[in-house]
Amino acid sequence: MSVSLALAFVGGIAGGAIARFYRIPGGILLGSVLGAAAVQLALGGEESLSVAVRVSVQIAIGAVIGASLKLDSLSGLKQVVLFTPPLLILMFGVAGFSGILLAAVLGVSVITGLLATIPGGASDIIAIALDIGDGASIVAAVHLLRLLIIYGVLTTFFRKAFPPAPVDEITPQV
Amino acid sequence: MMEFRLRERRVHVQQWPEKLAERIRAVSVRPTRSVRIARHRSLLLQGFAAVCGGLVGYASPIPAGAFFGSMAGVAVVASQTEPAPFPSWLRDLARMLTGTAAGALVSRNVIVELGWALAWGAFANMVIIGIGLFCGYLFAKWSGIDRPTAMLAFSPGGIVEIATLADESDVQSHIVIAVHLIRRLLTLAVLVLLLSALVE
Repeated sequence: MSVSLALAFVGGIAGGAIARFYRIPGGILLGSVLGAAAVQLALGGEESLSVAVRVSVQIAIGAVIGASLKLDSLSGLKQVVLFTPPLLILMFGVAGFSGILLAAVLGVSVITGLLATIPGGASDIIAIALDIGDGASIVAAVHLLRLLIIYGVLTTFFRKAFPPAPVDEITPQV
Repeated sequence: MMEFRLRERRVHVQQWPEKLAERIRAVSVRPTRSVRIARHRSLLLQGFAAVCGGLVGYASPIPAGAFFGSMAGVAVVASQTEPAPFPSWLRDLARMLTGTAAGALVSRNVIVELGWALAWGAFANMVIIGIGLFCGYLFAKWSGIDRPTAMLAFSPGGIVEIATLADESDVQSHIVIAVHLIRRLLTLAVLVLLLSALVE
């Protein structure tokens, strides 16, 4: 791991810790994204994360989420299997159309446009774009922009649109 | 109506001292030594299950296998042993690491490459996020699942990042994760078909 990447980790943890200290709802994730991104941009770091680091991070967050899951709640997933596929097809259709439009506007290949707008995991799609060697930078930039919008705008949107219930409206559990 | 609301609110306020006393009792009752040992053992087992499950998942062809393997391992162990939640600082540290890993992907080269096209990229992203939220709205309407859960389930981000966001928000994480798993598998299937058709 290079010095800039190590410093990006320090920046990320610091950003998350500041958000935690000020108790910003949903701020830990956004704080660490912004902290790490700011350090990477300031130092001009170009090195990507090693597989070992990525797998370790996935194991850590998987453990935390797994501990909060209840196995008996999995019975409620029937609705998910029933309603998700048609909605996803709609989502893919719109994403495909905007990808073709993006390719036309930017003057890049259709594959680049589609890879940039397909609603998948950023790391997977960027890896595929790098593999086929077609506009990987544009694909990466659009996906990272989406991550930043989701963390920044969507977190705020959820907080404003669906505020937590006030304390005096919580029903007593007797 | 207003009177009813005020009366209801007064009833809640009257119940506060009872609730407070109950909470103080819960905090002051220290768990016995055997319970504490069982909790520590459960935490150790959960950690072991996370590492083993994560490595098995990573070796498997499942997308984000390390994440799913670790999650499944811990969920199974946690359901079989003494309830022992991870300390809050550990949960927050895992979230910070996830955010840091995403933020570290940003580089100067990526920003320069996009340049003037940044506005078009932002517009395309707003369209995709918008249709995701609309799908979430429809999903909530059809299935009866609460709107924050449904909308987060159809937010077009990476599964690890959105699952972390769901865990941090007050939503049903298992539904969000299930929808994202289906989406990720569908994405990979679409990509395979698309690339084989377009690259040739």
